[in-house]
Amino acid sequence: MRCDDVIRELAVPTDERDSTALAEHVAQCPACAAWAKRAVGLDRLWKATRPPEPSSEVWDGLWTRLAPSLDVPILNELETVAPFVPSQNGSSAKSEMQPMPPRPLSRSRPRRWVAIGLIGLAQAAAVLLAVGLAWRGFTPSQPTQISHLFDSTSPASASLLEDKESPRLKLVSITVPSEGFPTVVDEGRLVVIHLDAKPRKILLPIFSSHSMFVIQAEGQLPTVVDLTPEGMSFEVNDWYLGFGAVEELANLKVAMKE
Amino acid sequence: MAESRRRSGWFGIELAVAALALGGLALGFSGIRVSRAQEEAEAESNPDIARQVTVIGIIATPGTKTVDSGLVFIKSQLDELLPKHGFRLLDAQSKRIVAPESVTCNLNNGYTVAISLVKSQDENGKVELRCELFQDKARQFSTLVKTPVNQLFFCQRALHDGSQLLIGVGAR
Repeated sequence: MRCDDVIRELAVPTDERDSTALAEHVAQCPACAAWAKRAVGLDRLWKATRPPEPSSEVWDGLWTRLAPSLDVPILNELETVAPFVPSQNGSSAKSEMQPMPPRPLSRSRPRRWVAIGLIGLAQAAAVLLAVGLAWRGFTPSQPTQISHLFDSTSPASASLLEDKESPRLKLVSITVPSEGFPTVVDEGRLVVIHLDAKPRKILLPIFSSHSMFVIQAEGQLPTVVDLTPEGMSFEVNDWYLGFGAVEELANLKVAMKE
Repeated sequence: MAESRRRSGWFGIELAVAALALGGLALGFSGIRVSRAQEEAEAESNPDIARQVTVIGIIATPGTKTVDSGLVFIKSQLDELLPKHGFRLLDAQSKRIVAPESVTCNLNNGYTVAISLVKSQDENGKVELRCELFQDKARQFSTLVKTPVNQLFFCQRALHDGSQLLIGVGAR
């Protein structure tokens, strides 16, 4: 394995990692061993200091701090962003692009620190996002709800992804429909979906080598609670009998109405 | 002699009745399993198969212990959901539908719930349903649920008077 591959695996472990080769390389390469040591330390620190899911107030505060900073030039120049045209297949997703005025070029040191701070803040947002999603335990099964924004055939996404020579910072706001996160009920479990969830906001910074943009996603996601008593699940036949009784009750009601 | 013959006759009849009862029970349980296996096999072979979708609307009131007689079969689940509550049935509907048809259930306080069939069977053998809650015809909430067949899941919404609206949904 090359050092690059090892460092990448240490930073973002993949399912395909060859643990033996990785261990052999780390044993022989002092630089990668130092990386591994730092990664372990970071993991330990993260486990010890992992924050709870942020509240909507935290998100709002984070966003309030982040939004004014979005017009800070990150690299060499900042261009006005072309108007965003919502994708035709995104009927349920509201999409808009907030244009940012061009600013004079600045290479001053404080600016660079602001940029570094901004990236750090965005990374914190990404971490918070990951925590939020992990805490919810959901896997978005309909990635097209968001991915259509970056469909290469879309004129809007072309304005985002083409012209890699011009670094810029952009903001994309989307409304995530609650249906984008289906609730999966397992056999024998007693699941309740609370239908009075408040709208939630998440930020997702996307970095590439020449540009950065931030997705602000807002949506009304249901709170799902598994109330199956600990150490047991309702027997399939219990459910079957209960369900049969409810169905009979419904049929009786329907028959009485007719 | 006659007495012992009569006794053995009764014993034979009792034995036959017991055998019939046991046989009936065994047949009943195997019938349940066979019909479920048939349903699953049918759904697997045809993803557009119709599903019997059932919806019940229940109002749960804190501090009471009254439970409608129709809800006794799911009382244990309801007690887990909302302990120390009384449960009153508002409405129940059951309909055989195909995607994208729906079953609507009218609840109190202007609430209506519509359950639409999105997919009869997904890749994991679950039924995909869309649950939409309306108040005075304005949609309040919509969510997708993937659920196993023959099993209820519940949606819950707090009402202003402290009671809870419970919606039980299932499909087979």
